[in-house]
Amino acid sequence: MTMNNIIEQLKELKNIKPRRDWVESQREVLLSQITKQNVAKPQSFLVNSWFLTKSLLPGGFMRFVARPVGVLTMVILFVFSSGLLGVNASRKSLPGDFLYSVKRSSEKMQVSLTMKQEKKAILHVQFAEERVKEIETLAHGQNQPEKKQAKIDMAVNGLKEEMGEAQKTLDKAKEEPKKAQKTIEAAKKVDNMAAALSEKIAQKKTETTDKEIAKSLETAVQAADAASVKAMSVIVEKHEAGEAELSKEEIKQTIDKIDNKINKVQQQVNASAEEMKEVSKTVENIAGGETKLPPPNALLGKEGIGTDTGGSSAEKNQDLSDKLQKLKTKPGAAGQKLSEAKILLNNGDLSSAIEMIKQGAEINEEVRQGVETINKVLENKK
Amino acid sequence: MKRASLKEKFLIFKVKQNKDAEAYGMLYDYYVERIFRFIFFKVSSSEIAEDLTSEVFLKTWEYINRTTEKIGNFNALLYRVARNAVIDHYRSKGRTIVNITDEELFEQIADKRDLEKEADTQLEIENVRNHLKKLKDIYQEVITLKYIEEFSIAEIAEIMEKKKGAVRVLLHRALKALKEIAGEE
Repeated sequence: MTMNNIIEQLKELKNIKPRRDWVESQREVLLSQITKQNVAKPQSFLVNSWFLTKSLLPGGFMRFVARPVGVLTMVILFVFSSGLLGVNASRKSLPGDFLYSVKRSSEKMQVSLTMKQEKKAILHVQFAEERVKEIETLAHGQNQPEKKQAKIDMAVNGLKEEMGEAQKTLDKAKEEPKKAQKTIEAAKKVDNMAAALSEKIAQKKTETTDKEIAKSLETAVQAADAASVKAMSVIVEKHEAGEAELSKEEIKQTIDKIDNKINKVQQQVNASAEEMKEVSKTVENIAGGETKLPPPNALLGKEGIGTDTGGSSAEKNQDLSDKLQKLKTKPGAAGQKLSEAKILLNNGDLSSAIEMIKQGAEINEEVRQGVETINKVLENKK
Repeated sequence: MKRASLKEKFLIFKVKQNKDAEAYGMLYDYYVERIFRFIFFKVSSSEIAEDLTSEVFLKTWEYINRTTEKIGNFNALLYRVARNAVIDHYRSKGRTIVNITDEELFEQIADKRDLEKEADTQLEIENVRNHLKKLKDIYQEVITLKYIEEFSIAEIAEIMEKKKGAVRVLLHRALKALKEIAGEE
């Protein structure tokens, strides 16, 4: 037998593998054992980033870094380089991808290294733009529907987070009167960017036929609108406090924006009212028919859907109708707020008008969430 | 996952820093077949190989979370733990050569091929396994790592804690011994 024959036969031994069922069951056992032994201890991303850097770089390099010249070199390299830690490789990653957490961590690192609050606010909105790109890519992707939805939801939650942070940093920037003009400039950018994002996402929503994706996109629209309203309120507050000057043209533009915002929220309220009517019809049909409804607690998500907690069918129907009745008054209340906003705007009280817009949008969001919950209950009943 | 790749280092980081069980699960997914095979050739029983493989992964987890040392080469660490587990097994149980039955060997083959080809393959595999079994442990180990697991000389050196030159010499002698055994039959 030649050596080549022997080596070829040796390579065949690679086909020896453990049983698949053993591999899978053992994995579960192993993970449950190690989970019981240890509680996962999430740490701050700065601590994580330091230890990650240490683990990825060779030991000799770390000894160099410990010297003063090494420290200075590393600070300069780290601040001006974007190629460390696989950041470049992670840039195109999507929710669910292995490097996605690296991408998010590097974004957070960028924010923490930015000193000025107004610049942080703009960064947050830029990262929200990135979330929208991820949503676009995912929506066109070939993933299984459940996985696609989960990944889109991850991106939408990321967008909500960034918009929320943008609002918080604008609030912090607002507290610095000496930087009022820069704060206004940043707020204008945030407003423009958030409004553009809202339009883009709303357009995507009209293009999608998937109801679940449409709902996720609506959530994203609301988040972008909230950031836009916040930015407008910061501009107006600074101006009304006399901390920054706005030209007549800028004031007119701001008034037009507020007016447009009132109209936009009114359209959203009208859409919610229409959905409410549809849901009411369905609930009335059910109450009139013999179909058994799931227990009312299902609305609150406290019990598993389909769990019978007792009570007659009629009682359950009444309960659902009562809840719907409470929601029914809300579009009217939201509309009321928006009417007041118009009046305040006409009277030149811009900050109060914006406050009314916020309240109207919040009530509308309650309606939207309520209708979504009722729809889920009705769908699960089918 | 390429050995010692960025992904592997990142997973080890997550395990060590955050005690991330799911990250360890991903390492398990990549290495479990190799470690099972490595142990299987030494103990020649799939049941014992399964038990010891489980033990190896648990012990490695405990080691990673106990040590303050940086885990430079997870691959090498796993094989060292595997080798020690086999040694401990023989010490505690007494060395018992369990001949694997034809049926057990047949079950290990993952590919679905037609029966005739399966039988031929089975025979070839049994032959070469018998040859391997007759070698010294260290010869068997270096051949397994080189030709079955397809590690480089540098990687084998790290696993066996030897210099590269010593691994080359060992491999040469192991192949010579294997050829002699195969030539005798």
